[in-house]
Amino acid sequence: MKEEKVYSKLVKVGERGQIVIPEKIRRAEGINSKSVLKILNYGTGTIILTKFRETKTPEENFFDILQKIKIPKDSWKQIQKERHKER
Amino acid sequence: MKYCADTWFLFELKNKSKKALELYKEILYGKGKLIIPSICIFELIRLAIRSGITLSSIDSLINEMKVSQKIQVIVLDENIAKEAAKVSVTFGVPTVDSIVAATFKISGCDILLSKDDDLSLLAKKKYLRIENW
Repeated sequence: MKEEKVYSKLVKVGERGQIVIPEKIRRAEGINSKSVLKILNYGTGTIILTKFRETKTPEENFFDILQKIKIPKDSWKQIQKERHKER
Repeated sequence: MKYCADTWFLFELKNKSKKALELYKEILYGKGKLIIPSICIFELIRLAIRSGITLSSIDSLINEMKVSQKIQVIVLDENIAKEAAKVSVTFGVPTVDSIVAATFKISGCDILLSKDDDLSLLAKKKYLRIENW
């Protein structure tokens, strides 16, 4: 069985409670200055930081997929022509 | 407010037209609902397939509509078919337009979002209320 590698490093907490996430972790996890992290504290000395992934609503996803569809600019004209073919 | 989206509105949304985005936000974050006739989904998917979209993207699009509480696709059932036939004969409107109009009517929509000439004619004859820009 492949052994899971856990990266660990000691960091010092600053005056205002700030810590620096080591660059190696930031790069590996794609964390940048605008990333949002979730802090989980179990009250037993264990604090976990996880990347916060914003979940989108179905309507937002629908809009996003719609944007990915490549259709010609004159699509509405085409539709109008096809609708009126039976005349 | 219950809006009925013709294919035109889906294109407007896709092209990020200012008015379409405003309306979509109003529907999503307000009390509104967006009704889409299944025939409009057909027109959109047909164009998308012609442009080479993957089937998995189409499935994703359909799935999002299925789970949405704000977007509802109305299928062409016998009531809509009957109403569409009446509209087609009475006003001389092409098949797709009469199905869109009948879906609007049967599903109790307030406003139809369309720039179709024949549907605008139905608005003039007070069969439905239309909005476009």
